[in-house]
Amino acid sequence: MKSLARPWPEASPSLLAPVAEHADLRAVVRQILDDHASHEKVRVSAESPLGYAPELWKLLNQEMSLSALAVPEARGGLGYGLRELGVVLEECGRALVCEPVLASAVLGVQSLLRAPEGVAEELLQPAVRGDVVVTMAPLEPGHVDAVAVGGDGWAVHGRLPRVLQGGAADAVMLLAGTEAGPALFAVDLRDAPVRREELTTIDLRRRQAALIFEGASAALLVPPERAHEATAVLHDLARASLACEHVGVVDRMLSMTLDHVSQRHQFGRPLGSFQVIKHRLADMLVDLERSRSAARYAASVWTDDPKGASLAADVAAAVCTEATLRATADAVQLHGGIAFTWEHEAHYYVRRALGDEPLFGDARGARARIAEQVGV
Amino acid sequence: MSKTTLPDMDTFVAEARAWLASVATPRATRAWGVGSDSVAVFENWTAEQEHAETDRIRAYEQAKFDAGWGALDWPEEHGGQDLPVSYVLAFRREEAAFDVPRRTEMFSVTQQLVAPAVAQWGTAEQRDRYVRAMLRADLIACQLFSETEAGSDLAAVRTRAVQRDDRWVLTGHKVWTSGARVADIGVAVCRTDPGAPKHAGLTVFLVPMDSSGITVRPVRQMTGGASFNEVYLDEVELPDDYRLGPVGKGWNVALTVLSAERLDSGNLGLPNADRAVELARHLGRPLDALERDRVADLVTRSYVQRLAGMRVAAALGAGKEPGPEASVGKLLATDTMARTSEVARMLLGPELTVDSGRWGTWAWTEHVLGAPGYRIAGGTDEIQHNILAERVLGLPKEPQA
Repeated sequence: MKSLARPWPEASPSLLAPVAEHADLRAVVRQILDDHASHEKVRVSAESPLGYAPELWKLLNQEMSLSALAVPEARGGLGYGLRELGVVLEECGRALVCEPVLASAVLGVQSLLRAPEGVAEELLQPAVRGDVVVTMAPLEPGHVDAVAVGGDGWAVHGRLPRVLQGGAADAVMLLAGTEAGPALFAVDLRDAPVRREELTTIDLRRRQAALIFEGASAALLVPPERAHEATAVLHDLARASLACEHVGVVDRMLSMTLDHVSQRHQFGRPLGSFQVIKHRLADMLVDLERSRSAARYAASVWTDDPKGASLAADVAAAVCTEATLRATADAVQLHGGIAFTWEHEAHYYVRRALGDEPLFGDARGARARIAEQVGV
Repeated sequence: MSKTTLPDMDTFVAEARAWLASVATPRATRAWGVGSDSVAVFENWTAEQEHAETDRIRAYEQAKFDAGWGALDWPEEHGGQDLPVSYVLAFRREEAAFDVPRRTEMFSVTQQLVAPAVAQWGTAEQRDRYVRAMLRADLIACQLFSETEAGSDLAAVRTRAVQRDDRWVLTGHKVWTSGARVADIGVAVCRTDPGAPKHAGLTVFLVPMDSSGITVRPVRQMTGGASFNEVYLDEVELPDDYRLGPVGKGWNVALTVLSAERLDSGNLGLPNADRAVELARHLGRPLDALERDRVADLVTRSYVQRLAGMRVAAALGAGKEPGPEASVGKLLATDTMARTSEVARMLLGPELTVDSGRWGTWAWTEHVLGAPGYRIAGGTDEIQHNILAERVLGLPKEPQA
């Protein structure tokens, strides 16, 4: 029986101190995205057959070593953590880019790192360089089964209904049932007998595909006896990472709306001089600061202690999911008719908020886990 | 922050802990079902109780000051240690783990709001007379700010101060004054020039509360108790050296007092939120899904309020000005308090509305009926929204009527 978590953050405040290196990192990413990921450019990339711009993906990996950022130096990375990757994710959420940053640089790479050194290195090394795109399927049992095929080889059968960037990925990490229980596997999709069905999604900037396996070979990353723990750690990672992206979305909604109400005049006054509008923006600021606190804390705790970050990650998920839904809806409302048009960028953010809500579990689910952890 | 070499933080914390252990016992976790079940937002004390509590806290504050742990971030001339505010926060964290007298609002008003205003606006003689005495809690101050016709619009005060010979004569009526019965000095915002535009005609005075012409009457509030007072000033005569700051600059002096509030609202509402989670754990029946969801929601809110406080502390500790996370503090606190009420109502049902005599049930009426007061006190939630919109986001002010 796990002991109950106390219902408050227990790490030292210094964990949340402003770091000059993070500000520098943010400035570099923002500059790259300002130059290469304007709304129009991202719209074109998102509508391309691949669903993202390989040039920008390459640039982020070459200039920023994005996929290597949170990888230990011993495994070919830069040795930073989710704290730093979180800064990049915030900026990606802000610009709403469609490159597989969350899927590959965060979830794919980190799930590969759950395996002992030497396992699936042929995937990890190019993934850390950003040369291949790797992804992680939702870690739910019941979709795929794995059977041993001699030596240490495995073959997988089944259908993963929704995989982030499943259409473009070179490899997928998944949970598959074995005789001893679910275990974590890697499947190299490049020459495997796999069918991919690109799906129609409400979020126009985050592709998903169904993957159908009929005996594709798989590498065992984490055996059944340790899979439960690895799955929990990766779930917390997923929620904390998504929360970081959401901070960027809320930040963008606030600055976009602030610009609009400062410029637009009605009744002979700037919209932003009406108290009813000001208070809505103040509420958005409160939501932004709540989201920032929760997401940055979760990313920091996961960095230092991936097994002890559940409560922080669930708090971040609950807070940021709802803040994102509110901020995107309020941004549309405060812009008025212009934001209801297809041409305006607001609906991409609304779609992101809607698409993300069930992605790793909604706010209600996060609160159910919080209740369990604190013993109510 | 004028010290060139700062004490090592770990050593500082260890020494603070050692001193605290010499004057108090570690705070025990409150056991459920025994002892006080009070969750009052506003204390309801008789005058005698308020004097006794104030004296008890004062004795601790004086011992703390004399041992060098009070006024940590004040210059040495006022009896301080010249340390950055991060040391104050570190000391408070340690202090929270000990069973020391919990400072009432009067003490933070005196030490955090009024003393800095006197240090900034006072004459050399006033600084000598008041600042150290306030930091050591020898003198307690209260705010004579609000009036029935001047709430959020503080500059509309009508209490007059007129010059007669070499003295000022103050006449008016102040409301919502905490601690007026125990305060030595009232900081009064008065109108000295009725002809000037409203913000320009104000002056601040330091009024000895035992002056002739002062009458203090408790105000009975929504909870049924009396935690505030109204103060009548009837021809109260003061020499000119009780004036704080220049004549006509009272608005600026008042703003100095009001703007110093942000460090202290950080923990507001958190003990009762934790208590509501304890209530959910000890209810004696399983919670339904909706109740669990609301309790977990309260956990997320108090958790994030604490994180915001940690961010402020971390920024100050790193020698930086905190960002907007400091300005949202009061709204986070009143939100936590409102959600706590929601949880208490949901979990207790009729036990909240009809006194069953059972421990830890009816006591929550003090929270549910008291919490609305904090949305009004210390700058209403609406004024806080204006401050965020105008000062943080830079939106234009409402056109003046």
